[in-house]
Amino acid sequence: MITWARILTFFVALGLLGAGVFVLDAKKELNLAYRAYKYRDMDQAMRHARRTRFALGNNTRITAGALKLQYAIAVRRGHPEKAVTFLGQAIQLQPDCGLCYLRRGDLACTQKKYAAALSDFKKGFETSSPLTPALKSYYYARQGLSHLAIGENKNAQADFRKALEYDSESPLAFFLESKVRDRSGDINGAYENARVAYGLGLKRPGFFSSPEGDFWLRCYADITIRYKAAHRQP
Amino acid sequence: MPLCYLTAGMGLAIFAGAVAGWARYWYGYFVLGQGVLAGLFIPWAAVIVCSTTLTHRKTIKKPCSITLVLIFFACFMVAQAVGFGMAQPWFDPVGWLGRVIQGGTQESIWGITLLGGAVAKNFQLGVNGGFWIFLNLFDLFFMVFFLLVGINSQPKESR
Repeated sequence: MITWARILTFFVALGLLGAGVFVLDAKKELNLAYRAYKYRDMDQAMRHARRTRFALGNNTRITAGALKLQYAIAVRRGHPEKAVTFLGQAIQLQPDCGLCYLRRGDLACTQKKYAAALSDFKKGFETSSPLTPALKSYYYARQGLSHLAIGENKNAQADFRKALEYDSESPLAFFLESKVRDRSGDINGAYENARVAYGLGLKRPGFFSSPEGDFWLRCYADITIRYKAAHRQP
Repeated sequence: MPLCYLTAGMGLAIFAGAVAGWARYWYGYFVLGQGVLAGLFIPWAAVIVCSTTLTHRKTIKKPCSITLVLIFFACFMVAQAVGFGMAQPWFDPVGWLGRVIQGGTQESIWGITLLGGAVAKNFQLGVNGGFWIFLNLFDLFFMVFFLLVGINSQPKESR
């Protein structure tokens, strides 16, 4: 009798341990993921966000939230391809997530996939819920850069105006205009805009230290050198 | 050193390591449990696989068993890293190891994460740094011990 009681106790304990470890609560997992992200522990944030997928109490909202978090982590860790995949999955779950399209467009623009970027920007602006003016300005500037890359200078200039409309002190918008002017051969206008953009970028913390900051510094240096060369006295 | 036993042991060590790495990523580290289970499973299963080649009452000599343990242990550890990396969204087990030692991330530990109160609040996301190294050495010590015991144990004499 005592042997059976021992065996039963063993299996009950094993079952409880298993339930405690293997049965996950989706909401708790997502909260842990956010907490880890807050403490900049990207590995644990990613792990907990991924665990929500097979946790109990999972629903579309929680899964979409976990996928958006995974996107943010993938971007921070320098895995844009994975980030695009996560955003794609989030869009499948929430097709009205305008910000998801805009973010995916931004990533596509960074990866130089301009046609895909423009398609996503278009969908994003159509379906986007209210965004902060600074964010709207940023995405218009990114759309403008995509337009510029495929040679649609007029559309790029229209995007520059829209970007300035939402944020009159956007360094990205002025860099965009500088590139548009440079493309059309107006080195004076390009230099003026690049100079303004550089000044605004210095005021904005993190602009030049961002992954693309180095590119814009080089762009400013290049335009300045060409402007000075053009105005050098013989 | 019987070749079948060596091959089977290596294969089983790789299998156990990959499973351990995968489980470690998704469910956390079961300190002591993992080491004991792996340390007992590998030689036990290797004897079952190669039961026909092992002669009863014949023990493997000590230097040979140490070599076997080191080979199985190395296979297990490499496979564990690979299994862990395969479970990650992008393969980076060595980077993760560096981060967990330096305190950049934490590893969930079975038991600690299930506790309540202040312990759960402090260690809910896991442990790292020196405490993590200590727990690993503790676990691996038991794994090596049980590998040695298992390799030198004899199958029961058939009646």
